Amino acid sequence: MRHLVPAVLMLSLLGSGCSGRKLVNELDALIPETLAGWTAEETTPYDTETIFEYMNGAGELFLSYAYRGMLVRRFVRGENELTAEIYDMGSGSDAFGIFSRFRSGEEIDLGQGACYVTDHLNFWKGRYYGSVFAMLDEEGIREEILGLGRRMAERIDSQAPLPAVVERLPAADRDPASVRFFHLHTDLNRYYFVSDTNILDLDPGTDAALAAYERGDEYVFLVIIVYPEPDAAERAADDFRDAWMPEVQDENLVQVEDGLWSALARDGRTLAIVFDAPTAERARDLLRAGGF
Amino acid sequence: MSEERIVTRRDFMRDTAAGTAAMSLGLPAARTLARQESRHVRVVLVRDENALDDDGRVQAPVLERMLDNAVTTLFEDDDPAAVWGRLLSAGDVLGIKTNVYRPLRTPPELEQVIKERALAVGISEDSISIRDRGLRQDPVFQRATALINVRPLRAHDWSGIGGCLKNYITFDNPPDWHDDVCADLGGLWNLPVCAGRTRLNILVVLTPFFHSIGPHRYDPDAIWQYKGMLVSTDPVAVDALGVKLLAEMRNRFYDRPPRGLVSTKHVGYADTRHGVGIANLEEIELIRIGWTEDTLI
Repeated sequence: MRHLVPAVLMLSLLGSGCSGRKLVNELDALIPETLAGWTAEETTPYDTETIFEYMNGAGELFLSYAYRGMLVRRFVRGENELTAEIYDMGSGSDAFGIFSRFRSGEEIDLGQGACYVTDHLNFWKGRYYGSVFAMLDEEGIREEILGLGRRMAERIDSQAPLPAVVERLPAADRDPASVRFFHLHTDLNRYYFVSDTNILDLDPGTDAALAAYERGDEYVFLVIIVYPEPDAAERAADDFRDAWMPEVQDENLVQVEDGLWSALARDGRTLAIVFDAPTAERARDLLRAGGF
Repeated sequence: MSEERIVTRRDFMRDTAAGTAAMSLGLPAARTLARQESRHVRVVLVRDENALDDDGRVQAPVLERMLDNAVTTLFEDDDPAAVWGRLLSAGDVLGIKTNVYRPLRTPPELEQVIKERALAVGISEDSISIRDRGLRQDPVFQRATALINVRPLRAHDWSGIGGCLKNYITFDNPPDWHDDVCADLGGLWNLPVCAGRTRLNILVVLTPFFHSIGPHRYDPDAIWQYKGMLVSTDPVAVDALGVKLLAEMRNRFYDRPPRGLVSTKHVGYADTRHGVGIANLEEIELIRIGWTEDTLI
């Protein structure tokens, strides 16, 4: 029997017209209505305003991407709960971006990318980000979570390319689990703390990628940021230079307090920054590998 | 109040003593703080290895003893009844601001101990309310003359930590305080409904959740059986120590020290912008009592 979205919740989206209803129906179709051995309890949609009712402040993270709406379906079995979430992130890039934010644990072949850690699966496919998690750890729960995730991924027809800026990250020595896509400086700081002030002028209109490169003990970070226009990239480069390497006159390269090297390069509307290179030459090499 | 300027990772590398904790707290590097007068605040860390049994269940009599030990130490008075009598009076209307985050809520046993202490002081039962949500509709909270703030410490995906400062977000409309990773949560404490009413802050660190990935991600592997409480009149100070505690736990958890920080700048800004308390760890006197294994801070 098809599990119906509660009428009262549908009404909140009907106010936004056919598009809201259409979105809910699309999301509803992506999560199976039944799960063997479990009882479907409730299905709840959340839009750009009601997302805070579901996840409080963390909803801002989804709004920093092109989040359009989400649906949550809960299944129960005894004391345990299995929760399936599907998010329409507006674009494949932002679906990957959210996925990269949460990627942790064992890489799984599911959708276009998936990770599993302690009763929690995250994946992305097309413009959708999905999550399945259990409240309690039980024998066999991993297989049930992955099974539900696979069924959800199979219902998503289309795939999406990786963000173009992510494709610019050089592949050699790259730690695959370190690849991130984001827009805001608060996310950059989660991966590599630069400054609480937005010295790189990141905003929802910028596309940024980060990866770490590992050789022996060295762990070097490369950040690439694409701005809407060359002028914006130039201003960001100036702001970063003033804040991060004020002592440098001619070359965009500086050895910082811990003995490691940072470097900056600009190519039109794209900036590239290296952090934590063991030598100046390594920093230059990584920039060159990225085409800078 | 300190003048804010751009501070980068490099500034904190120069101030190795202040280091990572200050960076995370959103504090200016120590050398840039404009010290107008010396400040000092006391925080008690009380721990007991028997606070939880082998199955992780809270032991209520131990919690009761821990709380009384914490307040007598904090106020330097051996008589717990006298201390509670100084904190509260019979004419008070008391809101006990708890937290019901499902995987890691305030232990009900601790809520009850606080309520019992209030009843013992002479506050009437109908003048006590224990709530997390719905404060704006709760008649006790709306007319409260006294608040006791009690919640467990956890990593938070947006604000960096869920601590005593953030616990007051339900006094108002939470989304209104989300901007810039909740940078100005300290402003909540200056709202008329909150200002000047908090008698005690208890940051429960029995089982801190130290690593959050995602809004509903509760990883039991990222729980530390710390079996403690941080207690102070200053919510900023307890949260600053909470930030440091979580950072120390993460440093032990990861093979490679994390380069990123989930910003907890709301704690620092609660000090430097909103004057709610003291975030600078050098100005906090931490008094440790009880179990000492793996204290970390």
